[in-house]
Amino acid sequence: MESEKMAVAGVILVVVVVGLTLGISVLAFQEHVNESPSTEITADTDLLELSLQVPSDWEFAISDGSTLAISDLSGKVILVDLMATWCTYCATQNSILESIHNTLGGPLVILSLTIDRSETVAMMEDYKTDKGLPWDHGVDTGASFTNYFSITSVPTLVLIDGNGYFRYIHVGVWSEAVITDLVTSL
Amino acid sequence: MEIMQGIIDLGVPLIGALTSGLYIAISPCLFPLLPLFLMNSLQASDSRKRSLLVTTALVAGILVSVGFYAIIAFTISSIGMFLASSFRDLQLILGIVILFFGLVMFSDKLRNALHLSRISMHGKPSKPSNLGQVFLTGLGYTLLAAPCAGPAIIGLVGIFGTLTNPFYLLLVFLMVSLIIAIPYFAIALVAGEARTGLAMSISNKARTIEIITGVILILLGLFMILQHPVFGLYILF
Repeated sequence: MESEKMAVAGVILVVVVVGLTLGISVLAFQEHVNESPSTEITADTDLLELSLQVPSDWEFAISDGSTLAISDLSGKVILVDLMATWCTYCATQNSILESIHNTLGGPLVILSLTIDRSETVAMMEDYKTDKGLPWDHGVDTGASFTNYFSITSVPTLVLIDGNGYFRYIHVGVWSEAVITDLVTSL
Repeated sequence: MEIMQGIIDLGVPLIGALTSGLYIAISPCLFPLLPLFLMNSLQASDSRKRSLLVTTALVAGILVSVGFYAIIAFTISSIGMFLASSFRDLQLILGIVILFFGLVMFSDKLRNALHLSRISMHGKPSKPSNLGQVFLTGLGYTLLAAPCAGPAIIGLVGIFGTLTNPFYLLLVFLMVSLIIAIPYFAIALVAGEARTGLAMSISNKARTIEIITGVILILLGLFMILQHPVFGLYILF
């Protein structure tokens, strides 16, 4: 094929693929994106002044078959690890979370939720068992966190204080020292 | 404390960029056709400077096409959300596409029956007359072969999405570019006679290479399909 024809065919393919993807993604997310406060949220800064309280009706399917209402954890600091089983960086984050769980477990609740909509609670149970991770694993039911924070990368970690306010969000692997410092300061 | 976070913020994306770039560079859809095209484009009598210029044009075409997909997904947040939350579904679709191309590459009869005879090493890109055509070939061919490198491109979007520091973003993009460019510049630096000999050798073994590429694509496609939760054979990373 001549180079010009190849480039034109490539561009046509891009237009079709991107158009289809954009159409599907807008249908799937735009309504929620418009409702979310994500445009006001800055990563790695204290979100307290935004007064973003965790919606009390958020519930998540957990790998042991139970349902966890976020309101049940009232009074505790919660570290939500938004991840996926295919994410290699999430394995790096797991080793940090294991250490955090050993030192701060009790006052701090860790919760790992997959944001991949095709991943199931059974898959999360396999993941938790396979990796030998002691904290709860589940799915981001109703894409609550994904829509609220417009999550585009995993891992993304969200820290919630004991009063139920979103305090920090970090995109990418979060170091043990920073998490420990922030959790102990809440 | 901040030093460790800084090392993680840069080190983890750099490792990710290295593996994604390597996957794109050795993706069976790009290899061996583009290197063969490059070898055919370079004359035995070409000076080293001219060889590097032609190679730069081809690599620029490849990088622009990879960057094009990544920038679109990175800048339109709903696409980024869709990619992150539908990765295994997309992997299934891409797996089916790759399996199809693997079968077409593997089987002459199927290729002829579907009137897709141009997707063969005998239908390689025609020899370009100028650098613009070399660039367009790199651009067009990589855009067309993007489904093959789809998981790596989605991975790159995820990596770029974690980077808020523009300097880190630039470093990670340079790492991807470097990894993708290395095999092509290695060809450019090989002496002209050796390059011509290698190109002839590859041309003579075109059918064998097609079969090997087809088998790799079939295996890759099947692997991607079986990673979907419905089959229960997924690998947990």
